[in-house]
Parts: sequence; structure tokens; C-alpha cells
Amino acid sequence: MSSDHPLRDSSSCSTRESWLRDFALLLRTRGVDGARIGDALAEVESHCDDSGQEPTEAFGEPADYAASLHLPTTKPTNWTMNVILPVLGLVIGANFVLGAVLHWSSGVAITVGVVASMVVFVAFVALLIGFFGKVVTSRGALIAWFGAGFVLMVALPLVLPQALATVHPVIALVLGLVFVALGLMAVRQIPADPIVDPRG
Amino acid sequence: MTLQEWPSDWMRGVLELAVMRVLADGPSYGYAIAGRLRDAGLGEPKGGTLYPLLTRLEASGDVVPEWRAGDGGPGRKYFAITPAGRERFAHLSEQWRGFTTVTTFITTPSKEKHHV
Repeated sequence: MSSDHPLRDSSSCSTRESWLRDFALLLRTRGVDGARIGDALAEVESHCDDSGQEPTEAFGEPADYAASLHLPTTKPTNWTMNVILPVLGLVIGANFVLGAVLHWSSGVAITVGVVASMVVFVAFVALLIGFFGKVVTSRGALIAWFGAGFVLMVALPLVLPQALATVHPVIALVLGLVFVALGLMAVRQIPADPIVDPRG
Repeated sequence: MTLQEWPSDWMRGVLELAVMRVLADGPSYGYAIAGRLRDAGLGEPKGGTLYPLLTRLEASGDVVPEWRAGDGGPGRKYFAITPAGRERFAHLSEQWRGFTTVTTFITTPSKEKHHV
């Protein structure tokens, strides 16, 4: 049984890293905790080091292997508190601050498009959480999901510029900073669950 | 001899028993278990088949894992059979012997049976 393969080139290393990244992401989105993810990653690496095989050759596609392990899941108990609210706070805050800086003389207009893009953001994250097993079958699917959400969030304020209200720039700036601060505080409350390599 | 030489349905049925048989000899790790099965003529199971099985055995309490540092190589996850696992293995292997006796009898042509 071989343990090292000097002929493994950089492209196969990147293939392995890419496979491991996808696998870790898929386990994370299934709600597997960091310690178990680290254990599963180390198992794959150890087996590939011993056999000289690439992960795809030995384990198949990351999504299929992640599903076949049936690892216990510990979904965050409150996705709304842990994910949606912190990020929404940061996005709204950044919008207000940016609006105040860019429109200091005229005031910050809250448009139909801005409100719609916030709704789209919440909807995309909520749908992702509710159906992550179906949506996130690969890293590409996750990127496509967030890419579509991002494009919509950027496009809506441009195509729906009708103002609902105008806020004084100072008030917008203060509100923005408060939202950013609340968002940052909420982010800090998210329990850390790092991926730990059991081999130390 | 490779795993594909045996019908996959048969392999699915017997792989757990075969892995427990290897572990009954002492703690071992995934790639070494696969090598033992290959050398015994059963074929070498892919990692994608073997590790989910080991994970199931771990979850059911039939084996316990332990990461050990390798000799200058990567750390390896060793699996050791537990007393409960050993008991289950003894029961399953006895059943398997009975099963193969029956299936051998059923699948043997009548002519040959008279000579046995």
C-alpha cells in the first residue's frame, strides 16, 4: 500500500481540493456539524493518499457520497435569527449609508425597487434554507442560486425607481449605521462550528 | 479479481459480514480492509461503498473508530469491532452458513445431488 505519490501533479491536487470543497459544502448545507465534516474529509484524504486514487474515482460524485453517508444532522435551530436577520440588517444598513453618502444634498429615496430587492433577498435565502437539499446539489448550483438572487437585487432598484418616501441624509446615515451595527452584533452571535481535522 | 465479477446484489448482501470478519481479526482502516477483501477474492470495494458501510457500523455500535498517526504518512482511521459487534457477527455468519447451504442445495442440479 502506497502512502505518497510523487507523480501527483498540481492539476490532480486542485481536482482533489475542488472535490473536497464541494463535499464539505454539501455536508454543511445538509446540516452536518463541523467535527463530523472534518472526520469525513480526513477519511477521504487518507483513503486517496493510501490508494493513489482521486476522490471522484474512489468515492464518485461529492453529492452522491454526501447523501450515502447518512451522517446525523444538527440544523441550526433558528435560521431566521442566525442568518436572515443579520445579513438583512447589514444589507439594509449598507444601502442607507451608501444612499446617504451619494445623495447627501437631495436626501435618500426609498424606492419600490429597493423594497422589492429586500423581499427578493429574504425569499431567496428562505427558499434556500427550506429546500437546500434540492437546490444545493453542487457548488455550481449554489453559485447560480445566489447569482440569480444578486442580479435580481441589483436590477430591481434600477427598473423600479418610483420613490415611496424620501429620508433626510442624516437620518439615513444614522439608521444605516444602526442597522450595520445590529447586523454585525447578530453575526457575532452565530455559534462557531469550525471544520476540525481529527488528525490534528 | 474485481468486485464487478460478483453480482452487485450479492455483494450488497455479504459486504457487511465480510468487513466484520476482517475486523474480527483486529482493528484496521478502510484501505487495508479493502485490500483484505480483494486478496480474499471478493473484489476491492470502492471507497464510496466501503465508508458508508463503516459509518453505519459505527452508528449501530458494532465498531468504534480511532484516528492513529501514520508512520510518516497520513493519519488513518482505524475501526475496532465492539463486543456487541462481535456477537452480531457470530450470529450473522452462522445464518450466512445456513443460507449458503440452502442456496447451494437449491442451485445444484439433481444429478449431482445423488453423488453427494
